[in-house]
Amino acid sequence: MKSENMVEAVNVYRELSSNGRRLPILRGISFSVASGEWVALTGPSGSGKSTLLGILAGIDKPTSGNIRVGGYEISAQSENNLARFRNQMIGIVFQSFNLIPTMTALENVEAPMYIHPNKRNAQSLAADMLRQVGMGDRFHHLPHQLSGGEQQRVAIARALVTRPQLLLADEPTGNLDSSNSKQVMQVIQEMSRRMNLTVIMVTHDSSVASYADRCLHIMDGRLAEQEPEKPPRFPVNQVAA
Amino acid sequence: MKTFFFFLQTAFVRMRRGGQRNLVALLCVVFGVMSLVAMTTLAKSIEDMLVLEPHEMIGGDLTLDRTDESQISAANEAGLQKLLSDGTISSYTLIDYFTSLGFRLPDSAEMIFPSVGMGVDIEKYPLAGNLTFIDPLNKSLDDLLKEPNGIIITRDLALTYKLKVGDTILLSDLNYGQPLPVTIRGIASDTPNHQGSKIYFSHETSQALTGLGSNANTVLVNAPNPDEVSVQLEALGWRVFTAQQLAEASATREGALAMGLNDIGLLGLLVGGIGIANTMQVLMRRRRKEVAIWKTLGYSSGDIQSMFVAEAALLGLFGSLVGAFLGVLLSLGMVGLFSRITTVLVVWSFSPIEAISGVIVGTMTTVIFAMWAIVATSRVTPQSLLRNEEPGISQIPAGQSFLLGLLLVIPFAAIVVWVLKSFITGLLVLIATIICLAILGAILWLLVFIAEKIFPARNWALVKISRKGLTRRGSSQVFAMVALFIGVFMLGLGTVITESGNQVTGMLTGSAQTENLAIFTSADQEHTVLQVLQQNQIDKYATGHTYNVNQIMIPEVSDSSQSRALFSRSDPGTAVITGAVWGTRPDGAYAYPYTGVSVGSMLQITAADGSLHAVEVVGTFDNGDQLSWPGMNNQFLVSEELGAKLGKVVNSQFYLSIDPERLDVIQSKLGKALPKSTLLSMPDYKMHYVRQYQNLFGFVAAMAGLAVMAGILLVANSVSLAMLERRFEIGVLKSVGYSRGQVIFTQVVEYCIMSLVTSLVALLVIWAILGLSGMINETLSTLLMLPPETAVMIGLAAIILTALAAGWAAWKPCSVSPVVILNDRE
Repeated sequence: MKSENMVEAVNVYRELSSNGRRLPILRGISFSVASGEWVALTGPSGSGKSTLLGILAGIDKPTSGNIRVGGYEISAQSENNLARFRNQMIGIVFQSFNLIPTMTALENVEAPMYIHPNKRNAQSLAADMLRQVGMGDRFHHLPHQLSGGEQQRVAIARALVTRPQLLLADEPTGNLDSSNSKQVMQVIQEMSRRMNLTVIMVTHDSSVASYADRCLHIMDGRLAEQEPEKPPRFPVNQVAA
Repeated sequence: MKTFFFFLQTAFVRMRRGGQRNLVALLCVVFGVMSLVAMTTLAKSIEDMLVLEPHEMIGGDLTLDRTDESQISAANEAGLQKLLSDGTISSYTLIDYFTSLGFRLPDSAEMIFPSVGMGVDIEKYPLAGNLTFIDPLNKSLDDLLKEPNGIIITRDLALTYKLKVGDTILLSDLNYGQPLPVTIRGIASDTPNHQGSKIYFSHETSQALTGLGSNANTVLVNAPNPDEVSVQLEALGWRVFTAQQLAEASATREGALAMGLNDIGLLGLLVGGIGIANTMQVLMRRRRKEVAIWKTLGYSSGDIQSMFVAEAALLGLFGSLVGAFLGVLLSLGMVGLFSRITTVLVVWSFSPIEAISGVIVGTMTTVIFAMWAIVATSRVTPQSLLRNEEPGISQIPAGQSFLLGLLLVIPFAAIVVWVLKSFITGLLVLIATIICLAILGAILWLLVFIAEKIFPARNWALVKISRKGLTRRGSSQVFAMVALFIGVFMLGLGTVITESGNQVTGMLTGSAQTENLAIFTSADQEHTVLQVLQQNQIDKYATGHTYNVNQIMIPEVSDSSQSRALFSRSDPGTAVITGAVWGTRPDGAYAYPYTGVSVGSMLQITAADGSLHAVEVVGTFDNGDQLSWPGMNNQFLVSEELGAKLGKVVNSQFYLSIDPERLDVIQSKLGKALPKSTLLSMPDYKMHYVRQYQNLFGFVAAMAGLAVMAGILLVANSVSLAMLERRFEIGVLKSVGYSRGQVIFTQVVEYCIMSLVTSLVALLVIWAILGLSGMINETLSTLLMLPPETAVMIGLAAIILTALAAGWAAWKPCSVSPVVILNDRE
């Protein structure tokens, strides 16, 4: 259900310095995302999509401008505050999964819980989340023992185990074949529905972008909005078990 | 608390799954702690020998001998009795102190030379301190030596020569010649001054040994005020040493040795720590992506530092436990070795405190040396994950770097101070070590840089790649070079000691022209010896005698009287004579060069009959590079006629030159024919010194072995880390057609060049030290040497070990498929 805004970005600029030169990456981006909304960020390579995602995740800071996530102003917070923000309010899914290779699927999903206020139930919550994404029989597998699709599902479980309000996904199907891509998108779709998540997803793939409620198109650091092509919606009971 | 346990759990899991990389780090910790625990345990064992009560060390408060006489007369003893009765002294006991004893088993020709023999009053000795026995237990000296001709030997003699209670040996004082059958009645585990290589017997046995009435030459005294009493005693003609003086000298000597061992242990720990720092630096670099992931999950830099500190601490703990265990075992062996190169009866004891301290220190050191890498890596910026790039780190500001460095140096300095038990010494040692290592590292790196420029590569691509690799590695290679340098240096030094030992003792069997068999006997046995020699057709020999006169004074040199012994020979034998040609001045004396008596000095000799004679020093005598017979380093050599004129015979000698092939047979035959004489072969006598050098080399070799191990470990460490750093490069090389063998070859050549440079420098430094020593002391220039062929062997050994370590460390990483590597860019 769409209600007040989850994300509000006002006049966000991001510049990088390189060899004395200033390189503008984001040039005054302003947008908002309602709570429960699914937004796709599209645009060509080098347009600033990943940079914007990084700022929203609190792992990068804007040069100027304001960003509020869940009512929390993040543009000028300390590193420790941003770390807490990342742990409690958002979940991130990456293109290359980024699971910790020396930890099992269950351990990877437990990892964010040990610095979370709800750490007491870390293992049971992690196990439950893995089951929800269809990885209930892979608890003790190491990442290299899982397929790409399975790794991404573990990554999704890890991103959602802390019950975040906002899910940021950076090309979640970029390293997957079409079959696995479909499965992963279905998982994200289902989980976002169950948890009433706000989703901001970067993608090049129009079929993936069609899962979103709307698209924000970024070109040369600036924003243009366009409606996505609507994909067929899958019934709940066809989510991968 | 749950977070803490999670950190520990992940640390444990990562350690288990870390594979070869963690193994290398673990080995560094094990080595460092093993060195520390072994050396500190050995040092503590030595320090435990330093008794707190000085009078227990010598067995009394004072030890006396006569200034002008070699024996203590009845009148002297009467004087002591008087002091006893008026309370000046509280007790005293006479000692017959021997330094020229030899013994052999009845069925063996080999002579064994204990350091000291002591004839004692078995009811009184020692006045203080302990003479304890391991066999039999719970017996006193009085119990054991009540029977005549019984002796006690110290446990080092029993162990070395496999002697036991009940064995009979033939004991001789080489100054008096006649062997005495004695029975071992007990084995002493410890003596008052903890020195071994001793034989104890009663005064009666002592008199039977020499055939003289009394051999007492030393007195142990207890006194209420030792310092005051010593002044009184000196006025009565006694030479006095207080227990305090002797204890301080011993404490200084043994304290310096203990500190040296602690320093070596700390150096081992430092080398281990450097290895850990190296390993952690690249391990953490390899895990930047992992750190970036943790940060995206909400972990702060502090959380990440805590996590990796837990991992380092766990690694340190496991490594330290293994290292401490090995260190305890190593110390056991080293105490045994140490006891053999000195006469100190060091007792090994397991000290839980040293072992536990080693574990704590090892764990702390691991964390300290890992901290820099951990702090640096915790500054990873995770944005790169969004671009699939290698995560970068924001540099630590200069001020924070300095502060961090200081914070790391301080705890390690505290460790050093704690181990050395002295703040100033600890700081000085640490600072000096760091400076020396830094200078050494800089010099070695510069030389390797030069070697890279000039090493011929021709058209060999692989060698060119190796050369390029040489200068890229930076700090990790420098540390390996320093450790290897120390190893080669110590190995070279150990070899120098052995070579000098071989030189001093010479060949084990002499040539036919060299005197190689001596017969020591009493004057009344001379005729018997001559007969036996005649019966055995031995006509090539020289004779000698030891004469005692009443007094020898040299006014130009000293107001004190000299030793009363004059040594005479029918010919100078192997002695090197300077001054008057032998035989041209039978009325003169030849002085041993180290007496300080110059040619032309006049000796004022009071002969045995009381007459006074002035004898001119007409030359000097020396043994050259030959080992001298016992007694031949007496101060003055005279002709037989002068000796007979001035002194009373105490000992007769015959010096034979026997064909070395027949030496054992002749010695055995003559030994049976002359039961009242002592036969001594030069090979046996030399063996006594060779054994000491062999044991010393064993000790030095053990130390050098540790250092070489450190060097090889750091080489393996450096190669392992280089493999991690160059993973992508290896993938590219293999993808364009280089085989595993070719890639490994480049690594081996690279490290062999490094090892060649390092070994060369180490050997050059040794030669430089030997050269400088030779300039300071001419004798050292002939004694201390490192032959070129030996140096080449040492260098080759170092290079081969390095090659093996590099090959082993590079084997697995070079086996990985290039596709895997190129798809896994980190």
